[in-house]
Amino acid sequence: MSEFLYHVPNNLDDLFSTIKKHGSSAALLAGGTDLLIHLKVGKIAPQHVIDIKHVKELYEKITFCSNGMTIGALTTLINITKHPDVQKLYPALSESARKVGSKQIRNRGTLVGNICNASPAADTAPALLIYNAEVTIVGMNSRRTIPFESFIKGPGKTDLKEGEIVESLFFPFPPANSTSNFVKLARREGADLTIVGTATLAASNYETRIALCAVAPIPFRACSAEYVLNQGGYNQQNIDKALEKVVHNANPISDLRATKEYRLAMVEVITRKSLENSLKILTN
Amino acid sequence: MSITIADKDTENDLKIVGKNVKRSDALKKVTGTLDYVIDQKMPGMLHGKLLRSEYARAEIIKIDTTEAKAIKGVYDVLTGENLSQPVPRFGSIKEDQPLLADKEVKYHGEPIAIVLAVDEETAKKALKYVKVKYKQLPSVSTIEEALKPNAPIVHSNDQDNEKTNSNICGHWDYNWGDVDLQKENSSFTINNEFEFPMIHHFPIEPYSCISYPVDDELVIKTPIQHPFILRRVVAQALNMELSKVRAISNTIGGGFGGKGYPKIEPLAAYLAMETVRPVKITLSLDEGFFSARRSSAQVNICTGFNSEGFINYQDITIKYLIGAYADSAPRVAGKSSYLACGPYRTPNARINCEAVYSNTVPSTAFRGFGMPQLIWALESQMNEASKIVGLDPVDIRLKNLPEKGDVLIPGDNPVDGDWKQGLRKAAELIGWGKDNEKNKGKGIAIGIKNPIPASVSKSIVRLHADGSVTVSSGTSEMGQGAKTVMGQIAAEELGVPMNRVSVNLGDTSVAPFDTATAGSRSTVSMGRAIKSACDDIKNQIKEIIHELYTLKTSEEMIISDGYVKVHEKVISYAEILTEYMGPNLGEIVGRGVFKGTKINNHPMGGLADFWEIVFTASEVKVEKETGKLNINKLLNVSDVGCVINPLQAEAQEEGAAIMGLGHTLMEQLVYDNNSSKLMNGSALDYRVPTSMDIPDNFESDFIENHDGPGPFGAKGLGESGIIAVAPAVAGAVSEAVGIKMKDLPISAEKVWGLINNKK
Ligand SMILES: Cc1cc2nc3c(=O)[nH]c(=O)nc-3n(C[C@H](O)[C@H](O)[C@H](O)COP(=O)(O)OP(=O)(O)OC[C@H]3O[C@@H](n4cnc5c(N)ncnc54)[C@H](O)[C@@H]3O)c2cc1C
Repeated sequence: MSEFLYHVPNNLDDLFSTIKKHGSSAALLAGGTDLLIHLKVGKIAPQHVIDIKHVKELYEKITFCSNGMTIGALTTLINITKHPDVQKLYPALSESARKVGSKQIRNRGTLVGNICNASPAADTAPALLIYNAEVTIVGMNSRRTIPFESFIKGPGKTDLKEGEIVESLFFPFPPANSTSNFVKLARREGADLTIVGTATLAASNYETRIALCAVAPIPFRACSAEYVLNQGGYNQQNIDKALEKVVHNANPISDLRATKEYRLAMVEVITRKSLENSLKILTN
Repeated sequence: MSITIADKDTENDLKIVGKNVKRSDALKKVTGTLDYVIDQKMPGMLHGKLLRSEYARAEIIKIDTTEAKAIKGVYDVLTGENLSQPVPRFGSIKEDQPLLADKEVKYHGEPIAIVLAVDEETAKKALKYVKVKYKQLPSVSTIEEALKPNAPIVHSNDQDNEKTNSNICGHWDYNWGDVDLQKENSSFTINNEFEFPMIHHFPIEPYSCISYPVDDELVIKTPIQHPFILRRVVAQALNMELSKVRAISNTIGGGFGGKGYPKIEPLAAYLAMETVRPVKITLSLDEGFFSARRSSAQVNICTGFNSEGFINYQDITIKYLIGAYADSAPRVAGKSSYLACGPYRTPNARINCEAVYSNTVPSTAFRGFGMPQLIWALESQMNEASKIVGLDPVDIRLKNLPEKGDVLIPGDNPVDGDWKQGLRKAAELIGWGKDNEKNKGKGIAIGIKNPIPASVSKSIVRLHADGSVTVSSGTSEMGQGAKTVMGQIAAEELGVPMNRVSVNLGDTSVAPFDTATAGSRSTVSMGRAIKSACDDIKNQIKEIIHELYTLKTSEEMIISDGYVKVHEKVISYAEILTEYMGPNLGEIVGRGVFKGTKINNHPMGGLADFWEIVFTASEVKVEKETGKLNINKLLNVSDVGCVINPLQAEAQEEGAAIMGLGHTLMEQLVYDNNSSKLMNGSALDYRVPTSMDIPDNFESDFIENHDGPGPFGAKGLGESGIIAVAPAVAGAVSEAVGIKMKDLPISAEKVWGLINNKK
């Protein structure tokens, strides 16, 4: 690990001036479960590490308002999994957070860190996609909110510009009479990277949302598949047709975890499973 | 004088043996205060970090250490060239491994330079400034390539190689009966090729050792299973007297064979002598992947059966892919192949085994010592045979299992247990014969192994005049619980409570000689040595009594449970010794020894002290869409003669079974075929089972017929639980969805592939 200076700003002004001063030689640290690994293996070698955990304007709470839920930059994955309202209203988010790493990792790791790391296999990304989450980004003199769908730009790349941080994530309430879930396939039950991860949402009016991770350079929404179901409803023929489209949208690689061929086959299997889970609840 | 030393052979007499005595290190383990070497420091200590080769095989043209040496805090940077010449080499079987690469590197990850610095961080930092110029050379990483006529040769000028200019490190043949004749007489012949992958031990405690000079002696403190082998190897490599090398086996955080034979210790020892300072070398968890592995294997097995399903012959060809240096791999190959016919009555056998060098991490001992590879093949073969012959998998095994007293391998000890009882018990516990639900199946398999033939264990037990006891033995504590079990044996034998027994393990300057902490032998062999040391103490007490009480020969005395009954009086050891030794409280020193049966010209060097046998059964549900296996039930029944500590015995069996699930379901070191580079040598890419992956229903049971050679009729255990997991699971998968596995691990993708090709 290369040497760095460790900064602990306690307010946003300090944070931004520290970022400004050190520019691209600085890295932000939240839970550190990604950052420390990258530091240790030498993937990055920043001269400054800025810990954001003590910035008083950033928060750990999960708050609800009339049209949705806000999760702060410091909200840990464990707190998301434990929150009963998240479980009830956003089950795919709750389940995907629970699938990240081990309990020790979830105790430290943040949801915002998971998406800022922008791994193709980020487990929570499909949930953010199906809930149409929005990302609030702040900089020294700026503030903007963009859909999560346009936040991840490539493997390890986000829409963040130098000097910007993610302040919070907003989740509009899901449509009425809908249900959602997340299914992950990995090599083992204990902490493992995902081979295929799928979140789906299904509603009684056939509004359908499908998103996947680990099977393309970035997590994505399978819009053409959603369209088939939105239009035609949940009969077997439509589901098969939709799944075909999902597979068509996927573009996985072969690696040590699985071959491309297996991943493509599993895109169908796992997405079907997730959809069936949703439909089972919906029809009850 | 007639003396009764009350013999405790019936379970009812036992007070400490057979009880769940708590591990002596349990509290420290759960509170994180156990003193592992990696946490230890010494004044003036230098920290060593290794630079490892980027290539599998290359000539080292030049190593530039100038920049690294200039870094503040760096004491020195050494390469092979800077060591005494010729570069010292070490090895437990062949002295072939240089302390640092000698002009040519032979595997990806081989140490080529070491930075010594005031702290670990500085040493790590300096590594980046060592510049190496290589000339890449062709390499081999598979059996097939290594045996091709024009293959690159790993050890081109090794006189020891079986054939010069070949990668064959060694070759073993075992034959009995007449296989060729039986080929014509058999009703069914089954011919298969099975493969077993390379597996890493993955101990949670990384390799770390400290060596320091004390006057003209050298001390090495390290988590090593076999301190006496370490002492011998270091003394040979550095040309020292045995008496000048002290090896201390510090408590081990997971060994499994990977910490059996020296790895980084000879280099640390050399540097401690050179610098006259304590030198500590610590590897990262990931560097463990560059240090030790299990040999992969290719097993061609041809079995002839008669019309009733009895085995007529086995014709088995085994190829082990070993690494770039021998380590203990040749012994693994030679010893395991001897038992390739497994637990079955085999009237005719032809076993042919080769160990093949490659440009990969040296392979070494690994829990099961070659048997998991062979039992995977043999028991998969038996599963297939049961279908072809039309017998139930349990029945075909019962049919071919020998009876107690039968010959297993000509010239070796006969069958020493009721093996059918074990198999029946495993079958009963798994619910064999009951119908399976859809996509569910059951499988059963038998594993077998022998300990280290003709081995020696010695022990010293001291009975102090206050009645407390110290046991010294060369066995090491590697989590298997030896410290507790050895204490139990002494406490039981001498009739003192556990809390009055101290146990010193694994220090060659304190404990007398022991061959090795391996082969599931210590409870039997060291246990016997301790028992005999306790008998020696009792005999000395007898003499003392005789002297103190001037007994006439006709008078009787009874020694039992820490007391002596003489002249109608019951006297404690403490009273006797205090009276005998005087006010300064001396001690009696008991010496004990166990020696296995040595036989000249025997292929194993001697007889098997016992047969370590295990009956494994599993119930598996296959998720057809993904190919994922859900292991609903996994159980091991081991014939251990007598369980000394049930809690620990179960923990050993369970730990072994989980390890077995690792190579069965997910583990495998992957080498790139072209570059021979290790592709998944990290904790992230190489998956081992976690506590989340343990089967819902997970059991260990034991057969205790008190018929072993160990104390109280014990046989060994510890390896047994890993040996037969793979074929038991594969058998279940085959029952569930009708596919035949020929190689491991049984990954979801592989199962999915087989199911779909079938369609
Ligand atoms: C053993 C292990 C297992 C894991 N398993 C999984 C898994 O199964 N699935 C999975 O998806 N992930 C997994 N991870 C990855 C990791 O735990 C998650 O991505 C986690 O959510 C990251 O959060 P963090 O707070 O620790 O991020 P950090 O490491 O602190 O930061 C991650 C990145 O985001 C940036 N960042 C953090 N906060 C902000 C912010 N507010 N604004 C701008 N940039 C920011 C950092 O600079 C850094 O680049 C695993 C990691 C480990 C070590």
